[in-house]
Amino acid sequence: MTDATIVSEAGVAGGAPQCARESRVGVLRVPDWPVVVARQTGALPAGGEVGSPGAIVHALRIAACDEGARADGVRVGMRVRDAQAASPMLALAQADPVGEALAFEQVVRTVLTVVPAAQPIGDGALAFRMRGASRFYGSEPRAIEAVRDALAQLGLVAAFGVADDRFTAELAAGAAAGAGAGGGTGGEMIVPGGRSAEFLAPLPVGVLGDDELPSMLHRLGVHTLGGFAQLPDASIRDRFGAAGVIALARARGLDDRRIDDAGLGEERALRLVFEPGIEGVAELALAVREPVERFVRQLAEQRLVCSEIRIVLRGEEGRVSERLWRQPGFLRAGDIVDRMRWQLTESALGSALVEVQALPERLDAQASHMPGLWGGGGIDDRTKHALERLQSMLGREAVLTAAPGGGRLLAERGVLTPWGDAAPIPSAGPWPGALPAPRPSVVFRPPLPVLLTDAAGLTVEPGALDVREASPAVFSPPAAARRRVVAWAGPWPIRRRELGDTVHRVQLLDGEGEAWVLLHADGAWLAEGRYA
Amino acid sequence: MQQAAPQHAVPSLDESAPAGLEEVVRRLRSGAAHSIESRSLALVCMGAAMPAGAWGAIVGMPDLGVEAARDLGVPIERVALVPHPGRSWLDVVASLAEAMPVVLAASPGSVSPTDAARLAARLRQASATLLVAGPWPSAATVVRSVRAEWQGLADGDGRLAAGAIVVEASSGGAAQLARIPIDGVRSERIPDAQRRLSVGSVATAAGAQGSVKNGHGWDGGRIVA
Repeated sequence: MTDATIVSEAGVAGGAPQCARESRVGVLRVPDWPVVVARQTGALPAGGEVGSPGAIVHALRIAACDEGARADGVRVGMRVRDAQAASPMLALAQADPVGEALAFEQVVRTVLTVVPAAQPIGDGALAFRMRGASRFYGSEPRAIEAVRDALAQLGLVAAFGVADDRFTAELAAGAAAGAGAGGGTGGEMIVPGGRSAEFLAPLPVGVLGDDELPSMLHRLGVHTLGGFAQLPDASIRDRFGAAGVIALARARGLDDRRIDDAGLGEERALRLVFEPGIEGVAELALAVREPVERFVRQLAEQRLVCSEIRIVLRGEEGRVSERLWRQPGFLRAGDIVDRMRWQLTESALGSALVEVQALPERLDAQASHMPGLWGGGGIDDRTKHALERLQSMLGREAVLTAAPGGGRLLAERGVLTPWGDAAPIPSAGPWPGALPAPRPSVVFRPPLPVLLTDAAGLTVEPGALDVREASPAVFSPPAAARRRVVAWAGPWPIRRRELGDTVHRVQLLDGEGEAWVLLHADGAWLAEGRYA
Repeated sequence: MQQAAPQHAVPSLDESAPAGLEEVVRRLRSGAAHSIESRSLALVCMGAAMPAGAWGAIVGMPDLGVEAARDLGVPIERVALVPHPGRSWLDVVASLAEAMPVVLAASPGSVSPTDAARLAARLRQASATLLVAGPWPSAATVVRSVRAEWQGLADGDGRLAAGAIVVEASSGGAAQLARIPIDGVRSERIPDAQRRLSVGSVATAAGAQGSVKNGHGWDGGRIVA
C-alpha cells in the first residue's frame, strides 16, 4: 500500500503492458450528498441523532436518502408513496441538481487546498490525483487523512477509494462507504497498484451502469466483471460498439480517464484572450480550435454535452457581440468553432477581436445524446452533415427549423430560425383571436394585397360586414382573376396591443373551391393564408 | 370533373367508405418521387410516411403554414426547411434525400426528363421518398385533387370547421378515388362546440353536391373544384 506498488511508466507489471500507469487515482464520495445539501439549505429539517430520516425526491421517486431512512427500509428508486409507508417520519425535499453541483464546488476547492488536482465526477464524488499527494504526505493513508481533516472543517464525512484507475477507485469508495457506514469515519479502501482487475473480478456487471449492457451480459450468462473481462475484444466491439469497448477496459481495471485539473472547481466556461487582437474569421478558427476541443473534452469527461451555448465576442474598442446558439442534438467542438466564426462575420465589432467567451447555457447528460446504434434521440450525423453542407452552400439563413410561436396572426405562430440557432421561447398564451384548426397550409409572409368587393364593386369594410350591412361578392386573389365569393364568415377582430390597433379577419370560400383567410388592416384587404 | 369514375369498383363518394389516407400512403413507396397536387394532403402524407424519430425536410415553401403542418401530423421539430433553394433545387433535394427518409418539395416548375431521371436514380439509391407538391415528370404516383370540401362557412356565419380533399391517386394502373379529411384534429381535439357545428354541416352536405345556396340555405360548402 505504498508508493512502491505503483507501476512505473515503463512498467510491464500487473498484466497491463499496453497501459502505462502514471498515476494513482483517489475518489472521495460524500455519502447521500443531495440529503446533506438539503439539510444545509434548510430544505430538509436538520437530521442527526434525533432528527427525522430524510430523502430527496425526483419525478415521484426517491433519488437519495440518508442512513436513518435506509434503516427504515427506504431505497433509492422507490416510489415516494412506498417510501412514506416504510418510514412514516420521512422528511422529503425536491431534488436540486444545480444547487447540489454548486455546493460541491466548495468541496472541490477545499480538497484542492490539500491535493494538487481534483475533479468533480458527479453524485457527491470527486476524483483526485493521488501520486503527488501520497508523496507529499508520505503515504496514501496519510494523504487521505489530510483530505479528511480538510473536509472536517466543512463538517463533512467522506468515504475514500484509491486505485490505479478511476473506475476501480470509484467502486472502492463505494465499498468503503458501505463498510464504514455508521462508524462515523466514512471508511476507506485502497486497492494496491496492479490489483485493480483482481478487486473488480467478483463485482456484478451491474456496476458498469444502468444501460443495456449489463442486462445483455446477464442474458449471456456473464454475471461478474471478471467474467466480462475475459471476453474477446473483437466480439465485444462487434456486439456492443465503442461503449462496449470502454466498458471492457474498465472491467479490466484499465479505465484510462485521467484527472484533468485545468479550470476545475471553476465555472464551466471557456474564456480566451488574444493579444494582439484577431482580425479575420480564418485566423479566429485557427486560434480557437484547440482550446474549444479541450473544453468539449473536459465536458465529456464529466459525461456532459452542451446543447446550448452563449458566445460572447469582445472587440478591442469595447464593443461586444453576444448570442445564444443551439443545436438539435448537441454541439461538438467543430460546431462551436463554426458558430464563433459565424458570429464574428455577422457582428460589427468595428475593431480587432480580443476576447472570446463560450458559456454553456444548457448541459445535458451525455447518455441521452449517445449517437447512432446505442439509442438516444437528437439528430444523426448524416442528417447533420447534409444540413451543414447546405448551409455552407446556400448560406446559414437558407436552412431553417420551425418552432411554434406565440401570437394571433398566422405568420407569428410559426417561428423560423436558421438551423443551429436557438429558437426563441414562445410567449405563453392564451392568444384569444388566434385561428383555430383547421389552419391554412399556405401562410403568406408578408400577407399579400387582395380585393374584396360587394356586388356593386365597392370595397367592403369590416364595420359594415360586422352589422351585416354589406356582403362580399367578388374576391380578387393575389395574381389571379376575380372570383365569386361563395361563402364567408367573420369579421373577427384581432387587437394588436403592441401596435394599438385592431385588424379584422375573415374566412371565405371562392368560386374555384379555394378557402382563404383574409385580414383587413390599415384600410386594405390582405390574404393571410390559403387552404391549399 | 371525373368524380365517381365508373371504370373500376371505385366506391362512390357519398358512400360511407371511400378510400382513405392508408390507401394513398401505401402507394408512396420509398426510393421514388410522387406528385401530390394538394399541399395539405402532401403534408398529411409526409407526416404519415416519416418513420418515428427520423428527420425530414421541406424544400421550396417559403409560405409554409407551420401550424397547419403540425396539425396535419408533421413533426415540425424534426423538419429542416429550405424555403428558397433557387437554382440548386435538384442538388438540395438530392442531398437531403440522401440523408433523410422523406423529403417534401414544392414543384420547381420545369424539370427536364434527364434531370428527373437522374434524381430518380439517387432516390432509388438512397431509398428515400420524395413528395413533390405539384407536377413532376415521371412520378411513380400522381395524386390529383378532384375537389376540396370545406364545411362550416355560411353567409357571414359559422367558421371553417372541417374540410376534406377528394383525390384521384394513380400509380401506373387504374386510378383510385380517395377522400382525406383535412380537419386539423391530428394534434388537438376540436372543442365540442365546433364539433357540433361540423357534424351539422356534414349532415346537410350529404345532399346535392356543388349547389351553393346563398343566404341561410347554405348547405355546408361542398364545392366542385
